[in-house]
Amino acid sequence: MHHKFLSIVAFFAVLPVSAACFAQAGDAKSDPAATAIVKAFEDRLNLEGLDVTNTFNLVQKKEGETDRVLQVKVFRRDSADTFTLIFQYPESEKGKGYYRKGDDLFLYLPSTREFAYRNRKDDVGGSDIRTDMFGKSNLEDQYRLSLAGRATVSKWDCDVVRLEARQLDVSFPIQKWFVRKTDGLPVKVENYSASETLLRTIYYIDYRKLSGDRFIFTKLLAVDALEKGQKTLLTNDGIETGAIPNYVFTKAYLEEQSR
Amino acid sequence: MSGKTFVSAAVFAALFLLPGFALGQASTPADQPDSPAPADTEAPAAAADESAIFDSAGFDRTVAEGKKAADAEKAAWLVGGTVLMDSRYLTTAALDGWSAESDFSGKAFAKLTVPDYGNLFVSYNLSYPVLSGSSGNAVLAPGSGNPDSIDLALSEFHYSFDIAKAVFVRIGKQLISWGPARIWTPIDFINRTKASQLDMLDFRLGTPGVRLHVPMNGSNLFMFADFSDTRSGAELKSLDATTFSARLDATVPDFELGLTGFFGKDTKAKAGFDASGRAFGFDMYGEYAIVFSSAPVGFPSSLSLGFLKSPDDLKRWIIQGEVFFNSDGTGNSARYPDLVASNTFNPLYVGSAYGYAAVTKKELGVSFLDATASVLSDASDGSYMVKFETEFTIPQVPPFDFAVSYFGGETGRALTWYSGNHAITMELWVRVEF
Repeated sequence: MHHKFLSIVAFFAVLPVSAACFAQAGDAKSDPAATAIVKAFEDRLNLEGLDVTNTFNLVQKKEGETDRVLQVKVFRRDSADTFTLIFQYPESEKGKGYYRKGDDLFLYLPSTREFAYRNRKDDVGGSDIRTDMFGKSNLEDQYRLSLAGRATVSKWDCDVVRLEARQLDVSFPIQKWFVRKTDGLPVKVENYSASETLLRTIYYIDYRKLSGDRFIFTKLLAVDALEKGQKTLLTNDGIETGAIPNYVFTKAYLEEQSR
Repeated sequence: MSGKTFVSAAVFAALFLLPGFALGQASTPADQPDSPAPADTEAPAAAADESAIFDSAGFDRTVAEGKKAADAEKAAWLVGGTVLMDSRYLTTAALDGWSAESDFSGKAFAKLTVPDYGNLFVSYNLSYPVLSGSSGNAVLAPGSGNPDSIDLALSEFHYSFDIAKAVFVRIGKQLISWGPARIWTPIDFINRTKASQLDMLDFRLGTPGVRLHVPMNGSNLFMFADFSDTRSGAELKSLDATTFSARLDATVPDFELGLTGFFGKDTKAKAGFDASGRAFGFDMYGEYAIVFSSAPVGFPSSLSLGFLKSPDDLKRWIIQGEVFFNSDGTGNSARYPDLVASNTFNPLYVGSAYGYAAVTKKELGVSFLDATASVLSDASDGSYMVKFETEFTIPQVPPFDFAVSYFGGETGRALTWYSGNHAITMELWVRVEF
């Protein structure tokens, strides 16, 4: 009886410990040093306390095709984890737009007056830019972070941080961020598939300093690793930090703009 | 196999050949220009030295070249539209009759932008019947059209401009979209025809009038003067027949609220309230409208409430629902023939209580297939429609949709009026946007 009692106690003692071990293996924690690097650049790139209005000009180049140009007006409020994007050019795209509120991202299609759910894997207007480039970044929630050594990008010494997805709704399952040691800002990001095939490389060409120690990128290059010669160049123009009316961050605003 | 069943199957097969021709035609590769612009930036695989990529001046040059090429293609005119090639086949559950229709329908528009003056916009609805026929006990929905010509109807024609970006003016025939509801829109007091999210395209015709939009900090004021009753065809009537609508909307945290009013000299005044926003992780919306009538009618009112939610991380599952209550509606189908005769019968508004629910799964098994299952019911007369719709986006093939619907309840009810009871429809369509 005594042995039986002990074995039952042992079983119930071992069960939660085993469960905890499995949970640990499935949701391994981030490396604190990598987290510190990511937090440091997110503190500078997340613009909480500011409303930001700007215009993205995207030039997409494909081999054997004429350049494709997109112009997107962006309204961003990181404190509320929201943004609104409105296509302004070409005329054929006018009226389309994105609206994000928290984890929910919608694409508005004026032809059917429909708000379609989208996820972070959505390429904006068929370009090489995904929607998570437009708003607040919270990589630690989405990825497990680890240090992956150091590298030189152009003339800069960089820390390399490896990101492995914790959740399904991420732009890419695996990423490597190359963070410049001089100012702690990312200069290059490699995006990989789950099988570690390089899909895309993003280069942050230039930044602009906003108020305080906040930065916003002004020039960016996205190079498609699968389609030879395909790349998207993005410039961030007309950056303003004046207050944006609350109304802009609603679905109704997108719908109104399309009419 | 009975003769009718054989004919039924043959027509069904023929219907599916028609879009097949469309697919074959549309999949012809388009000529592509062969002028890759020179790139000053290099992919990492092609360039060991990444320094060139960070040459800001070179980057600017490359962007400028791209924009220049795009500017050269810019035209003051923009022409576009959407065309549906739609084939429908309807049969009874007993397979003792069938009807079939196939047609083109769509919208085409042109927009002229003149700097400093504004925009001129014109759009036409178009339709062209390809096939129409029925046999046995199946009911053929009313169709029209001449196979020798394309039917055109002016949908919108307006001129819009702004005054110092403070007041935005639009004059002419136009569609007005007020309110957040997706299927039942009780506060849409202006358009003569109700919009429906269930339609594949917005085929409504606009209303002639003047719209003013005054954006304010955190809110918007809209005003619309409707001239549609000031004439009847060629016959001129009094300007007193002009009706007026106004809408004020404002945003409070996470919710947009709107107040709408409608009045005119010989018209019953109406008022509406609507709200949309997020609560408890759901996108929610609602519209309430009331008509100020005198006794014995009283104050008929209508209410729609709906929600939209994607419960999974990748937003591949979407659930949505909407209900509609209409105090002026009826579940008495004996009244329907009179309403049909007076051209006021609308299956989605004739009843007093409706419900709609749908579940969508994107990438159902394969990446090129999205599917939606939905139920629409007129609870006041017991009729309903169950629909399973699939959307195919197969690489190298034009996107197409296929849907199967079942109509039930009793014969001659709101949702079985045009199809018959126990009717099954199959529909295949290709949507071309340009």
